[in-house]
Amino acid sequence: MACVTASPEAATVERPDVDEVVQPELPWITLVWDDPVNLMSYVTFVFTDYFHYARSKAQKLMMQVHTEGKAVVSSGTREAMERDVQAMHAYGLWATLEKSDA
Amino acid sequence: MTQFRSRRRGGVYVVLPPYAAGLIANLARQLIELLSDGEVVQPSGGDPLEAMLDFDAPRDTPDDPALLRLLPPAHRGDDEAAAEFRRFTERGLREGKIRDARVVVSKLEDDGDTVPDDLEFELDPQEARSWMRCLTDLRLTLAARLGVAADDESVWEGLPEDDERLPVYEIYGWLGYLLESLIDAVRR
Repeated sequence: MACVTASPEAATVERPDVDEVVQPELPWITLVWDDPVNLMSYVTFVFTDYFHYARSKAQKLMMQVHTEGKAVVSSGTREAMERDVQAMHAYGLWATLEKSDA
Repeated sequence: MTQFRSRRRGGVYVVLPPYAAGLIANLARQLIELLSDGEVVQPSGGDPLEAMLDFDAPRDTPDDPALLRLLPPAHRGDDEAAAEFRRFTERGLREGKIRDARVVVSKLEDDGDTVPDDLEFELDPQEARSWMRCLTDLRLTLAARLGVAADDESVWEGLPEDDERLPVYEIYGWLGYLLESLIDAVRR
């Protein structure tokens, strides 16, 4: 995530124009939700196959979905999250995207 | 006997008894029909490009619980965003699932003979994934039809033997076993 900071080495110190301050865009997140149908092995497989997560990370996320009802599986721009949600739906998982509150 | 065996480079060698092949093909064809849902996927008249770009086509949340689970909402608590997302993506999602189901059907129809022997064929890594996704879609569809809920195994086990849902529930379980075997073979 980019943020705008003034460099202490800048030769000229300018008064920042408040109107030009860029609000860093809140990242978006993809959530995968638990469902009564999908096999634990399949959910783990999908996380390794699509996100290319290491098996240990994929299993950890799968267990989070299983025990907590949901897990954040990725974060980034809205467009990227829309792609991830579409991919999850293509695999038969249920996913949603939302703005991260963090 | 049904088998899924690992092959080099992520391929899978499959052996299916005739009843299994016939059943899967049948279910996959029904899934294609469900996903086509009266929609004209190949427009017969008019400009096909225009039909593809028809983003203003209303995209209501499906009424059919099976379709709703196959094409779920992408936003919680924001019906407008969900409808917008559906308008732009539902068609592509349907078509992807139909493609996967067609991969399955084509493998099972390859054998022109009606000899009642086991069907044997190989899946490359991409075909294996189409199979996994299609088997998952079939499980989701059957579960929606049956009303499967979390941790309800004891309910199903307690049903009288002649309950007409039991054969379908058994198929649902069997598809899960197939998927598990296929995942094992791909992962190895």
